[in-house]
Amino acid sequence: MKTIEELKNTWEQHKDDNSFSTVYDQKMLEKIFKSRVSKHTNESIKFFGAAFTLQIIVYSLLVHFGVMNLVNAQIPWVSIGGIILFLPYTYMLMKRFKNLAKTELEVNSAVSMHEFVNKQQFILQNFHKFKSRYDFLIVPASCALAVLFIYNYVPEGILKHSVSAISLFIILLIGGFFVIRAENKKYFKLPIQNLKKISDEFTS
Amino acid sequence: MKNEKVKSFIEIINQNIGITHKVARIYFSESEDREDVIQEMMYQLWKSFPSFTGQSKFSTWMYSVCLNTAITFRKKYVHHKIQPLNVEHNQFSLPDYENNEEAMSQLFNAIANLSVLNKAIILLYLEGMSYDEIAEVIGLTKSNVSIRLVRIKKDLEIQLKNKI
Repeated sequence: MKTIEELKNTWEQHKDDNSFSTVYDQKMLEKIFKSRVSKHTNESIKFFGAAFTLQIIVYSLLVHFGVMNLVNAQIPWVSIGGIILFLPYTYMLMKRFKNLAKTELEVNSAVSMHEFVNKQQFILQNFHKFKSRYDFLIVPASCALAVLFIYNYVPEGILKHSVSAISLFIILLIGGFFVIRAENKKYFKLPIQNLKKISDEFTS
Repeated sequence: MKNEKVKSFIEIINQNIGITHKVARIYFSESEDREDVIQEMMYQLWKSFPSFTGQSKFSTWMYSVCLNTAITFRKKYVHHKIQPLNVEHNQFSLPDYENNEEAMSQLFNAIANLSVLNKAIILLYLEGMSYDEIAEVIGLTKSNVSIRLVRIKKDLEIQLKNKI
């Protein structure tokens, strides 16, 4: 068996040889960069897709709800109130998303591994913290709105069917909870855990 | 892309292209993942290229970018279709180690069992970097690198011994 030092010598003898078959030219690089940009964009869309879809559904429901009940003195105001309530969340989400994308782009990959891991971990943890709080408020509110919307078309309305309305609300809430949990696990918890594992190695 | 900048980038990258292959080889066992991560490295190298000031060796700078890309590379991109380049690009061959191929292959397999951080340290050591350079790329102190290397070498020797 060869020792590590002997293997290192063999490795070093071949360190600079040109048996790597790839030689890049401008065309190849352009192709790679285009493919990467589209990949990163797709990933961002997937990453925030659920949150944005939820926003669109909420606003559509509120507008629909208000317009369909223009004759009623109170309902359009409830819709407007709902929109006003949701707007700060949408604004915050967009702002945070922009910051996250910007920060990820600005993080210089040429820093030391330790610094890079810590920065990546900080960016993800920060956004995850915000998103968890945001989900905690927006998911129950969206479920309640959906129930209100559905029972608007049920004869005698929500007050006469309060038990089924509450049941529907709970079902929607549980469904929403599992979807959000899976999303957070995939995009935040697991990557943060992996980064933490690497980061811990530096201090062990 | 500005021609002058691209030309100098292509020239210097082609001279050091082995770095991308070696980093990909120690962190990813599947050739498809390696192809994907190498493309990501090229993209990150291009993006970071303006930050290369020449204060350190280009290879040291390139190792930093490639290692950082590899350790945070998200394999969740599994559904992404990798942009096919050309036939040669898909040949992820490492240097021909003449009569030492088996020994080198065993070494790569042993390295694969190391932790993320230790893989990076041993790779830089095998590449002949000084402890100072390794410390710069990794972000540890020189003495810490030296202590870790003793442990890693011991670990690798045990693994290689057990293979026989």
